[in-house]
Amino acid sequence: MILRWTLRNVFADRGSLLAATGGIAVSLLLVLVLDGMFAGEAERIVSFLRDSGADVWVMQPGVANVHMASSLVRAELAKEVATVPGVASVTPILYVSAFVKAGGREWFSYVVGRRRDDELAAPRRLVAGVASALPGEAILPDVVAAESGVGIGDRISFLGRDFRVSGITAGTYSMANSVTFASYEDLADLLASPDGASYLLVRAAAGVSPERLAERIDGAVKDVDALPIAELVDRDRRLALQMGVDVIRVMTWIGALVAAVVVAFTVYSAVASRARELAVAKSLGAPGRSLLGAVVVHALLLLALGYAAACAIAIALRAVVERALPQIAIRYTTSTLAIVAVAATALALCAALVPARRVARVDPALVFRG
Amino acid sequence: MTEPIAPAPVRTVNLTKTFVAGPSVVRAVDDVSLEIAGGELVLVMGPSGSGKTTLLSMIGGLLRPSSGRVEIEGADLTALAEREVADLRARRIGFVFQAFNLLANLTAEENVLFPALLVGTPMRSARARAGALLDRLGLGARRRFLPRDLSGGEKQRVAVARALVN
Repeated sequence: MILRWTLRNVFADRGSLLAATGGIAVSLLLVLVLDGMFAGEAERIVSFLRDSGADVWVMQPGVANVHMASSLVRAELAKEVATVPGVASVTPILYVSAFVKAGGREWFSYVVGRRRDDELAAPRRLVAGVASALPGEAILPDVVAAESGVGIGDRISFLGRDFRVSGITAGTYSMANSVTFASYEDLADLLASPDGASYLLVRAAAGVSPERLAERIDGAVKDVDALPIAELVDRDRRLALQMGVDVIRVMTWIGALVAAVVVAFTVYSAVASRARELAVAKSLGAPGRSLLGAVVVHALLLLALGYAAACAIAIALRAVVERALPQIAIRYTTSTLAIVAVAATALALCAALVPARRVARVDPALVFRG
Repeated sequence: MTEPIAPAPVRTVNLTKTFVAGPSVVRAVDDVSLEIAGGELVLVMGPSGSGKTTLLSMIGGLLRPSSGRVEIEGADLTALAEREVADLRARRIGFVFQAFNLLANLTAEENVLFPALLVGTPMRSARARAGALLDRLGLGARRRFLPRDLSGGEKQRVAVARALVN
């Protein structure tokens, strides 16, 4: 009967239910979306490296990143690396950070020079045009193209030279960087490095782990450092996040703080508004344990409804935001969903226990009052 | 052979309750000893603030006395655990509050069932008992009504049925 009574109390007043679950939903939504933006950005920052197809990246000694880094190795080292046992293929690329001028705007970009027939370091998702640039051509991220108002055949420039846009790619833009592809020949010319490569991208033979192969290359080839792809991705992600995306992390924590206050206050208010009825139930002989159970069920129901609404809105919001603002990526992770659920539950229970304790020490005047 | 004397349904012995209100101590109930026999109707009268509610709260097991004791059918409430007091309250004490205090989102019948189910009465017999009480009080046709749909007098009668169900 106490459970039935509690359920009736939760669902009887739709206005109060909507206000309580709405408040909880909006506050949890804030945390989910901000954390989702952080996770989305963290993924996009390293999407080029992760999708490069390489198992090991070989670079100039002392260099341990791609983001905001510069590396130069002699081109003939590619042949030496290719002789290391476990290496299936070696692909040199050229790389430089530059500002790309497109449609009157400037975009910070990794400019990657790759040979036309190379399999590695190619754009993974092509939106329009071609996936490999010929000399004089460049391939832009879709967000840069859209925001700059340029398309296939338009002119852009970087490093003081004009290029014709020949392709547009997806998944190559983040708030911290973007990836522009050019021909190997153009970049070699611009960098005045006809016999050099920025990085050597190595693919491991079947059954050889990237970590083991990187160790072998480090031991066998002088004047280079080799990093397995997972380590390079991790290093670049941490560096990029330190350089700006941490702002989103701070906003997420502030959002979490706001959410904590809203959830606690909403649950406290909802339970406290029942104090008189709980006192009546106690006066009728309801044991404290049952009343505590009623309070806990009430709090958890509100939270569950609010959380479910937050998740549903978050999913819908992601589709809307990513369509309207393609420069923003939102990714919801199961760990975040679980952490938010557990933290909010703990908070709701704590907030509910304050009025519940008050009911346990019920003021008899409350039930006798007219 | 003499019959054992049944204990008085309600008995208080030197019942006292004090409240601390800021720097002063208020003695709301001061050394009250009384005995109410079975079938006896007792009216407690006094001006506002004279301690009527406090006295009833202690007799009803809602409030612990500062000193003295309350006995309900011989059981000393002050010596019982909180859970035992709650159980005794549900089984042996019925309140009809001035404002009736019906549970707003339960029907008239469910309000009457509430204390019966608290003490573990099977649903079937609790429903029969509640139905009989509501019929006797002229509320048979209103058993599925929520308190907000009942008149003041009907609410009062539901509260009476609730107080008598156990």
